[in-house]
Amino acid sequence: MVILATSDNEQFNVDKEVAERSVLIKNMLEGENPIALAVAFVYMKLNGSFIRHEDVGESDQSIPLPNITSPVLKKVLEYCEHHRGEPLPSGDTDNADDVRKRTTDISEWDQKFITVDQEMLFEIILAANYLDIKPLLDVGCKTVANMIKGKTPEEIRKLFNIVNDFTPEEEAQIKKENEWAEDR
Amino acid sequence: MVSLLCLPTEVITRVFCFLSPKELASCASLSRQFLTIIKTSSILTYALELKKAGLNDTYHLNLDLFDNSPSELLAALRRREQAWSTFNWTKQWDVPVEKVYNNSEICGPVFIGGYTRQGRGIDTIDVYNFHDINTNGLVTTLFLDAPYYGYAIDAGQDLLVLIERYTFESPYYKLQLRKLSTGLEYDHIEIAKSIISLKISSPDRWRSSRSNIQIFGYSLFLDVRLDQSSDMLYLGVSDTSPGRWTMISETEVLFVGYGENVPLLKYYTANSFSPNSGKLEEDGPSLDADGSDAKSSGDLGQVIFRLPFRNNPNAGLARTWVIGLMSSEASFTPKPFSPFVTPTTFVYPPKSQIIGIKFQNAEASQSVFYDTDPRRFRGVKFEMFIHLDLLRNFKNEVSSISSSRHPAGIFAIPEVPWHAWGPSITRVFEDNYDGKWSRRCIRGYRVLNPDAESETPDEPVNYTILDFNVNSSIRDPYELMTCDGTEITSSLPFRRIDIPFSRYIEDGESNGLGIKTWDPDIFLGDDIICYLPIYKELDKHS
Repeated sequence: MVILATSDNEQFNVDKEVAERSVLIKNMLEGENPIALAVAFVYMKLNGSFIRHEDVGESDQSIPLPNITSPVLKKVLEYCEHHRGEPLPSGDTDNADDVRKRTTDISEWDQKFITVDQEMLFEIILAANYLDIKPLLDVGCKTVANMIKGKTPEEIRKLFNIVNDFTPEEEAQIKKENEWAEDR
Repeated sequence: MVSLLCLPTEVITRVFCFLSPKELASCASLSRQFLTIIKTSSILTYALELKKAGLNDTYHLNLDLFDNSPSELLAALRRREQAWSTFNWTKQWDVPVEKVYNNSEICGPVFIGGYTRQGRGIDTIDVYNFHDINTNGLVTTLFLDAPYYGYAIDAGQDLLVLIERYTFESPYYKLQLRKLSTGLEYDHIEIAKSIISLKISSPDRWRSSRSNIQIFGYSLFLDVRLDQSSDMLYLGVSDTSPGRWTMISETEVLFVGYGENVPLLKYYTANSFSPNSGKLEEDGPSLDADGSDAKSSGDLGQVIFRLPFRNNPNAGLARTWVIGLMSSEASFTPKPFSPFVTPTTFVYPPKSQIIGIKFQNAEASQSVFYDTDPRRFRGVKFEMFIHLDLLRNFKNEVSSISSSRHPAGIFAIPEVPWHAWGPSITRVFEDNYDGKWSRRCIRGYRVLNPDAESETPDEPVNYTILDFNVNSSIRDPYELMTCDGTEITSSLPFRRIDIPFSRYIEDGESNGLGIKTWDPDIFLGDDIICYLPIYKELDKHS
C-alpha cells in the first residue's frame, strides 16, 4: 500500500498498482526519477516530515501531494482504480499520436467519469498533469476540446469566463485573418 | 476557482491539439493569452498555416487538414518521412512525357539539368521544351546537353522530377517522378505513349543514404550526403549567389547567400499568425558560416542547422542538418559518401542572380526590373516566389479547373486564374540553345497585399504580372521586362494583366517607383522575386 497525502491533509491508502498509474508516483516509488525524488524530498521537508530520500519508497511513509485536494484525488484514484492493470502508455508521450485519436474517442466509462462540473474538470486535468497520468490528462483535454467544438468564440468565452482583451482594431484584424476558416 | 485559464500552457496546447484548424482559429480569437499560446506553439501554428495555405490531402499530407487535428498532421509528417525511408528506388520508369505534358498543368520546369563543364548548355528543361523542339508532338530528343543531375518540382501537382546522369559520358539518365509530399512515385500519371524510355534504377550511391534524403517542402537540396561516422547529413546548396530564398516547407524559408563575402544562412519561419503580415520571422540565430570555411577552392562552408518539424522522433539520429554553402562557381570534390559521388570534380555553376524585383507602375517608362547582376549571364530567367497566403486560393481553384487544351493546340494549359497558380517556383525561361531562342513556361503570381502601414495607401498602382493564359508570343525576351503597356508576346500563351497594387517600396533614388537593391522583406512578404541573368548579351560579346 501507498499512502498519499493531499493538500488538505487527508490520507489515502492506495494499492501500489493503482497509485502507479501516476508516472510521478511510480518514479518516486522506484526511485528512478531523481527529480521527482528531490521534489518529494523538498515537499516533505517543508511539511516537517524530514526523511532521507531512500525512505520515499517505504510503504509506511506518505507521499505528499501538495497540489491536490482530497475530492480531486478521490476522483483521480477512481479513475486509476478503474483502469488498473491496463498497460501504461509508452514513455515517449510525444509519439502517442496514434493513441490520441479524435475527441470522440473517449470511452463510455471515461465519458461518464469525466461528467463533472467545470472546476472539477480542470482540477482533474491539473492533477493528471501533475501526477503525470497521460490517459487521464487526455480524457480531460479531449473533454475540454469537445466543449469548444462547434461553438462561436463568444460562446467559448462565456463558457470559460474568458475576457476578451483585444482592442476592437485587433479583433477586426484577427477576424480578417480568420476569414479562411469561415464558410467551410 | 480553477478555470481554463489556470491550466498551464502545455496543457492548453494539448487541448488545442484535439481541435481542428478551424476551431483553432476560433480559439486564437478568444483572448491574447490564447492567441499567444497558439502562435508560440510550432505544431499549432503549422497546422494553421497549412490550412490557411489550403493544403489538403490531395497535395500534401494525405489528410484533409481541415478535419484533422495537429497531432494527426504531425503523424502525417512522420509518415512522410517514413515514406522516404521506404521508397523503392529501383523502379524503372517509362517516362510519360506526353502525358505529363497534357495531363497536368505543370507550369514549372520539369527537367532541370545542369550545366556543362564549359558553362554552356542548358540549365533546365521543362515540358514545354519538348514541344519546342519537335514538330510532330513527339519528343525525339531529350534535350539534355550535359547535365549531371537535377530536379524540378511542381508543388501544385505534387510532383517531383529528379533526373540524374550516371556520368557525363553516359547516355542514360535516371528520371524519377514522385509525389512531392511523400517521395513516393507519382501515381496519377498514366502512361499513354512512351517517348523516352529512361531507365531509372537505384545507384548505390543513392541507396546508401536513401533514408536520409529528404525533400524540404518544395525544394530539394542539390547534394545530399550522409556522413555515416557522425550521422550528420550534409546538404549542398549550390545556388548561393548572391542569395536565394528557398521554401523548405510550407512555413519555412531558407536563405542562402552571401553577406560580406561570407556564406550566410538564414532560416525563417512563418510564425506570424497573420497571413497578411507579409513578414517571415527569423527563427533562431542567423547563421554566418565561418568565413574561413568558405574557401574559394570550393570546399563547403558549413553551418550546422536545426530544422524544426523534422526531428526524427524515433531514431537516435538527430536531424542535424549541415548545410554547406558552396561558393559560386567553386568546384569541389564530393566526399565519398555523396549520393552523387563521382571520381571527377565537377563544377557547381553559377546560377541565377537575384535582381530587384519590381513591377513598376503603369506610368513608368523604364524597364520593370532592376538587374543587380553585374555579370549578366545566361539567359533571361525570372523566378517568382510568393508568400504563403497566396497559396490559399490556389488549391481550391485549381481543383475546380478542368484541363483544357490550349487553342494553339500545343499546350495543355488549363485556364488557371492568374491568382491561382501554384506555390512552386515560378519561372519565365528564355534560353538560347544553339543560337535559337526557346521559351519556356511562366507561372505568374499575384502581387499581393497592400501594406496597411504603407505610406501611400491611397490609390492602387497597377502592376503587371505575366500570365500565360492568352495566346500570344514573345519576339524578344526583353519585352518581358516591360510593363508599361507593351504587349508581351510569346509563342507561349502569355498575356499580361494589370493588378491593382497599392503598395510600392520607396526608393530614395527612383521616386518610389521601384527598388534598386534587393530587399528581403519585399520578397518575403508580398512581392515577386525574379532572377534575371541575361546571357543574350554574353552571346553578343563572345
